[in-house]
Amino acid sequence: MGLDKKGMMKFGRMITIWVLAALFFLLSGCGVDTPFGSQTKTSVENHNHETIQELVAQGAGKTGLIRIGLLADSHQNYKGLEEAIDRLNTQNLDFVIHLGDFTNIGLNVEFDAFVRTMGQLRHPYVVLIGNHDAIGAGIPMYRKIFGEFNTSFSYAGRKIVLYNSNSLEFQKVEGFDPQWAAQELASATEPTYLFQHVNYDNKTHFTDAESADFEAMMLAAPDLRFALNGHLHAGTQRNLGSIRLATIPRSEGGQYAILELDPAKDSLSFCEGSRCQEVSVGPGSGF
Amino acid sequence: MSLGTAAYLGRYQVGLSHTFNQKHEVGFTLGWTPDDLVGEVRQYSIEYGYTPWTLQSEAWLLQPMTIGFGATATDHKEFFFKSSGKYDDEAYYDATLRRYLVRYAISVGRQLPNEQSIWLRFHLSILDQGLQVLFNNGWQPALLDYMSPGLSLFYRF
Repeated sequence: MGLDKKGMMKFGRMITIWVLAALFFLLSGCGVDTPFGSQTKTSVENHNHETIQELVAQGAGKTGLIRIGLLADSHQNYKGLEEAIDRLNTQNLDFVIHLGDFTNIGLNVEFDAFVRTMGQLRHPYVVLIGNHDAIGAGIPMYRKIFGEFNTSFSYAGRKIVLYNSNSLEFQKVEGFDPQWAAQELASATEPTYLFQHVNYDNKTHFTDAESADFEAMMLAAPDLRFALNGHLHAGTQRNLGSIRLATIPRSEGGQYAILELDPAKDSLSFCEGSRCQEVSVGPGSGF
Repeated sequence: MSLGTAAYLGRYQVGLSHTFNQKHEVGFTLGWTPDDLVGEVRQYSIEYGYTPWTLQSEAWLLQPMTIGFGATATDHKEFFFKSSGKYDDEAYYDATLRRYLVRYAISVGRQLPNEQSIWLRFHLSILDQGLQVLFNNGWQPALLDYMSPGLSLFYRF
């Protein structure tokens, strides 16, 4: 269709707006080229390592009560994750652990959306890799953004062990290492708390013999207090001797958990919004 | 014929499309993205676009809106159509090697002799997962997190 003088001016304005918009979007780097690669928008790298270094320094002189916020299986429930983060931000916490499955299918855009959402958290946080995060290009992206798959650190006289239990997704890639977990638990000289994504007795991931070996290893650990996992979405807890086993509920609906490590007694509470309910009472941290 | 970049179709793209009545457009695009961590990613995409208006001032052309949808897939070995059978349920994971897109584009062109034209097109693609997030839990930032801009230059014979 043809244009008169007025139309021409409108046309010129549209071109100008279009060029400015194109430049804005291209220069602001607001997208990734392909959903199938490891390219992400976030500039965060080696997040767990950096955070743990800060936590170790922060926890060096600390004694007494420790409060840890727990999140799990947020997948693409960003609204639920934000609700949980909002509640966690109102709490007095030492740090937060996300127990994995922060994506559905390990896409780069899902990593970006998760990192951006977790940026709203006012507490330091570390992230375990879940089985859903370890498909596609998820494994190398996790390594780049968050760091090692297995790591441990000492915080205020407690040993925190973050263990990658995704046996099926790490068959071709190094990173699933039960021997590492065995050494970490056996060599602990402090009350120890084990965090993993998949529960050690999961029938899909582990044979009965593998589960029995892991159970024996936990029972033989000098002072393992809690073994916590995600993956199953519904919050549960039970005992294995003096060890408390618990599944942290998924963050859909704003669910989260609070683990309190107190010299008198440890406790775990499952929360939804402002409502929290204590679900287990462990032995005292004892130091 | 087009050359382009980004908008979830690959860093480097070459495409062929056909336009019916200046309004309906179907096309096929080959994309390639070098990737330090997972190696090169090849992509194959098909698209449909609808352009309601084409404005012209002398030799200049403007298509203020093209809306459409498309599908893109890769043959990269790390991505799969069906999960690899390690789980009891073969369909435990959704397919990772294909994605669907909704696209918006605005194009500026220059009429050439013999009814040919050359165009510069700016795209915004929204991934199916972003729309899923938006509809499932009303989480508005999904539109930004799951959106990719792109640019292409195309020549219409």
